Amino acid sequence: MKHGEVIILEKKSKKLVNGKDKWVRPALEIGGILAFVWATMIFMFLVIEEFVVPITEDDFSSSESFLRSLVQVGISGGLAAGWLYFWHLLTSVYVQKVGKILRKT
Amino acid sequence: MLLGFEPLQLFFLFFSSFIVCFVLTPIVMRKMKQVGIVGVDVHKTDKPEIPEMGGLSIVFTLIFGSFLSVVLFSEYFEEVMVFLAVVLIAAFVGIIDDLRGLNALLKPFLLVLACIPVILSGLYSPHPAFPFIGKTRLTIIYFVLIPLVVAVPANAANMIDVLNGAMSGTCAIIAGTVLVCSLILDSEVGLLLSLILFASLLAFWYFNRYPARGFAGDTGSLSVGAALGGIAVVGSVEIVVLVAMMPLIMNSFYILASIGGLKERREIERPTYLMPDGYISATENPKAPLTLTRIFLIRRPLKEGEILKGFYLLALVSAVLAIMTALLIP
Repeated sequence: MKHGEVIILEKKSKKLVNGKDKWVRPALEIGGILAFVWATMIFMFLVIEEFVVPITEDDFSSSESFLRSLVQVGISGGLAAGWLYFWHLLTSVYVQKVGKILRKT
Repeated sequence: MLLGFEPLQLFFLFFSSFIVCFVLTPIVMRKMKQVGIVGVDVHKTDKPEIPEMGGLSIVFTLIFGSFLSVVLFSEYFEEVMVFLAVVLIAAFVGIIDDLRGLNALLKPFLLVLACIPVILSGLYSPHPAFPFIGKTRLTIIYFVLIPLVVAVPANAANMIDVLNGAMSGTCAIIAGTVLVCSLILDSEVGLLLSLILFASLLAFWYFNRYPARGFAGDTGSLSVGAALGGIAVVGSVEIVVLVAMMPLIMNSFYILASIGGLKERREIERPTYLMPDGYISATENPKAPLTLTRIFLIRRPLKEGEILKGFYLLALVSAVLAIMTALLIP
């Protein structure tokens, strides 16, 4: 790629983010939050698959199968609640940070 | 063959549902204007009066599409009828809300009733599939969660319907995504129902897009949301619908969190205001709810059309994530 082409590309991308298409920046930022939240959700499923699902009858007697299910659902539910809180926290931090930057300028 | 369906029959179902909604929508909108059921478009400087309850055409199309799919694919009679019952209950709640206005607490409660056909028919599988884990056994928990699976999407679709074409456009993308994911996950019922919903939403969006010629009203938004919830349960594509609806859920979650629960519309401060040049700006009132539109406008005021483009981009991001989720389910 030639130097002139790079400058044109840079100008185009700046225009896309700051210029005429002003809606792209907030959409990409909120989209980024959603993608990150999705990635943590997938990670949560991996953790459940690795550590919660393998809780087997060995850890509980056969009469305690209900208790085993309860422990599995409890841990998974706790993780899901933590994930929701993380999503809430991430968006709150984003809103506060952007608000602070704007107040400074 | 597509999951045991003849592609030509599926195309016929899609095309006829699209045409029915495309023909019905302007008729319904004209009738609503004649009887004086109109709403003011608050995001336009000239404050035009736009026909409300246009979403009735979506409900009529879903009825038509459901009966046509029963004729074409009779083996899914029960699933399609349960889906239709869910949509009709939500539409009934929407009609009351549009005509009389419902209490902020009563509306979600009435929407919970929309899950009754699902519970009574027993046409749900308490084995939702998750990425990596696969099918799980959540017999009791799933039963407890069914009311939420219908009421939450219905309220989420209702809460996003604040700009021209916001609900119809984003929900059309979601329905299209569920269609693709149903193909990936081999869900015949999911494919059939999302196809009808996708066709009707595409046709409706044409009239509802910016600048809108008609509003969907609570009738439209509640029935579309309930339809998505119904597809999630009856078609066993719960996690995919959840991911595809992330921007809508984020919007309703933040509204409820910032105003501290369910409140009457007149008790809630406006999160945005219209500037004289036609730009929409976020309010600095700390009592106003934190909506997705307000988050969008934190940096600078934008025109309604620009905010909508951003909403569609967000829905597309969620669509990609939902398809990736479907691919990760073993």
